[in-house]
Amino acid sequence: MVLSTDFEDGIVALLPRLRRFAAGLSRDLATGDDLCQMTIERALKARHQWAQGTRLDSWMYRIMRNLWIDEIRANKRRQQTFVEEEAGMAVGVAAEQEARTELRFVDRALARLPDEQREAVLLVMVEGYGYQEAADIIGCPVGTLSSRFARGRDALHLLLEGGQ
Amino acid sequence: MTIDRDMLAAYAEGQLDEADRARVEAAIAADPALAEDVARHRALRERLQAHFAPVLDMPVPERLLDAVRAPEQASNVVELSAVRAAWADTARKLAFPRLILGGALAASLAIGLVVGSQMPGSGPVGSAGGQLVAQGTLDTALTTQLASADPQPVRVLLSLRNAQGRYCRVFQTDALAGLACRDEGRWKIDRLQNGGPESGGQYRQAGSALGDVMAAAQGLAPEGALDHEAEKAALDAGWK
Repeated sequence: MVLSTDFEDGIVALLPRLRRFAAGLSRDLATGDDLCQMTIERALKARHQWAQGTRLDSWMYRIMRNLWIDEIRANKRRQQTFVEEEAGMAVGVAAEQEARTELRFVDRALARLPDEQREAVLLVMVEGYGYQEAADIIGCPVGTLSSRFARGRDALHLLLEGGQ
Repeated sequence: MTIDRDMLAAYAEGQLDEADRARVEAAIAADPALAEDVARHRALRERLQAHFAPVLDMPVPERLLDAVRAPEQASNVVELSAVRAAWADTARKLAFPRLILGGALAASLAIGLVVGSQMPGSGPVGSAGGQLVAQGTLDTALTTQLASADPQPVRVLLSLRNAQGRYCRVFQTDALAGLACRDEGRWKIDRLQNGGPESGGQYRQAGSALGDVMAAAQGLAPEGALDHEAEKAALDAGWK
């Protein structure tokens, strides 16, 4: 039995945010939870690589993002169906039709962004990371991140404002 | 000077240094269209945050907590009985590709009962504490979806409370119909029926499989299913 440590406690505290990022990356809550589980397993195995005192959140986000790119996205592309795209993230399960429409609307707009723009927008606008932190998570130069972010944001403006 | 779009976005995100910020602010003062852009940026940020906020408020699934707190049990899903080991062996021999996707759930169900001891999240049903429990997409659907007739990979058809006061839910997928009851933070599978053309070549109408499960559900709760409000309240309380 592993005793609870700062490391485990830190991951547990991050779980709601990790689920949010996973849902955003995969655009599907159930797939996102699978991604979360794989991220946790990978993190526990690689715990010696995490330097105590550095940020656990960016480290976990980096693991999750790399897992998503390496293992899941390729699989998802193969499996992607029309139905899945229509289903969207299916988060809120909101009762009101209006809320549902809004959910689907934002889902679809995000779905149309190229992957590298979507992850940049999610990290900066939803997860609240600065450009440098987001670039470190993705593993790209900060200039690349800022340009992907600006293009993704402009595309979302057009998609969301055009459809209202 | 001209302010390009990258710089405007960086300004709205507070990512510029002092000198660049002053330049952008001067340009904004001279051009209302730039100020408008910053306002749109803030509106977009709020909209995206609101979109994802429900995920932060949802209870974290037990399987994720287990994956952190008790990785031995979570990834090795307890000592499997000989029967379950045999099932897993059969599933391996079928050599289906590993499917982790919500949208591909029906395909992974075709494997039958994949006891997810080797790969958490590889099938809808796993084993914990010597009992069959929902995992992966099925666990998520049971925990987070309200009953609805909408087509989804996993449809939750109704919820009820059994005589012990536990919540139970009837679910259906393209290949299975079943009844799961909440027990110590997991969805214990009380009844599972194959149904539909995916079930190992033996065709069986999903409708009739569902009929069996519905009859079992009725037996558990003679007074009937939870109404929408009661179900919503139970979901919000984490099915406790």
